[in-house]
Amino acid sequence: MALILRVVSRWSVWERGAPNEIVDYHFRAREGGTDLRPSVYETDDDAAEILRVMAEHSSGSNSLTTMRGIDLAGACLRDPIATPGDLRFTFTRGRHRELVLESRQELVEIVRRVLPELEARTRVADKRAIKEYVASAVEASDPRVARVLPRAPRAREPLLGRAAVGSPAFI
Amino acid sequence: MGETGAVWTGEVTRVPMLESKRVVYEVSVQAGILMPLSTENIPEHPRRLAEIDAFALFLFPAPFPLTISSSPEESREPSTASNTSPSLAKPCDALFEHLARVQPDQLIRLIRSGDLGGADLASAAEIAGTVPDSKLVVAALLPLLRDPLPMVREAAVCGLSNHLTEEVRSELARVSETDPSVAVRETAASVLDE
Repeated sequence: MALILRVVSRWSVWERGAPNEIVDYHFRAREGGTDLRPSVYETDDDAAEILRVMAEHSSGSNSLTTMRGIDLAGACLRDPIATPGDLRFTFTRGRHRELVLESRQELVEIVRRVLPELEARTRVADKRAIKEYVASAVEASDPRVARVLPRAPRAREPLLGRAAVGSPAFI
Repeated sequence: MGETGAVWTGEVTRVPMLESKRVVYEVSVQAGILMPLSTENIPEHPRRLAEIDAFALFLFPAPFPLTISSSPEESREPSTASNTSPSLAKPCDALFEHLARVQPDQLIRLIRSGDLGGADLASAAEIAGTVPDSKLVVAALLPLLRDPLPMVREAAVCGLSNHLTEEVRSELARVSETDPSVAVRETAASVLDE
């Protein structure tokens, strides 16, 4: 069965287990309020595929840390819809979905359903694994790696080395 | 601004989330968007005043024709502050990101103000990490490593990850060993693990 992963880079709010806090922090609309079309990824429960999704997803992060994906499959009232999202990776774009929610309460309910099974629903890609994935992509001269970067310039070079910085983005 | 249309000059006594200032605007509200044109409709929409108040800096990066005056005498029309809704526009990531780029000192002031709730404070702290001025960022975020909320501490750890001075490394090492939250400890260790 496919996973419906909500990728998160900050974990402490899930650890506390308060649904409203989780919604406030991890489902924020950029312009304020609750994001009622949150992004998720539909993936196989395959470690390599999940690592790739999380590494590509992390290109939008300000700082690279261990990433987690929370599987929401079975907790949602409706099937997610396929949308390309705003990443430039073909692989991840093909797996990008959005939950279409009617209310914040619906989202709180999803979180409430997930929490009792949180450990079983969590997939982890640690920082080292992501860096190794990036390094292997660099070795393969894969231009996609230019996007697998935290945005802060100072964080880029230790992660990828000079060769990758400024490489053309992959679409 | 002269030729840009009818001018409304308003005085707002407090810029929400930032600090008390008198602010003179010459703007209009059209379909919910602030435009530097006619402003004649503004008094009919007091809530818009609060939105202007909060988002003027967000919507109009400098040099937006926004005048901040320190005395009411500089207002060119009678004050309409009484029309201002007491409700504050909500802080949001778009505002934090804008301030981080354009007025990082204001973002830092906002973080230190005590006006932000847990999720907003955490988000603002993480976004503050993108500000290049390490001295500014470190001074604001180090105290948050002792915040009661784990989400705020974790966000501060992430915000500091681009500013790894010796002092920051030392504090993160402490956090990685002693923070009561497993997630915060792991994040701090992860940041230090280059």
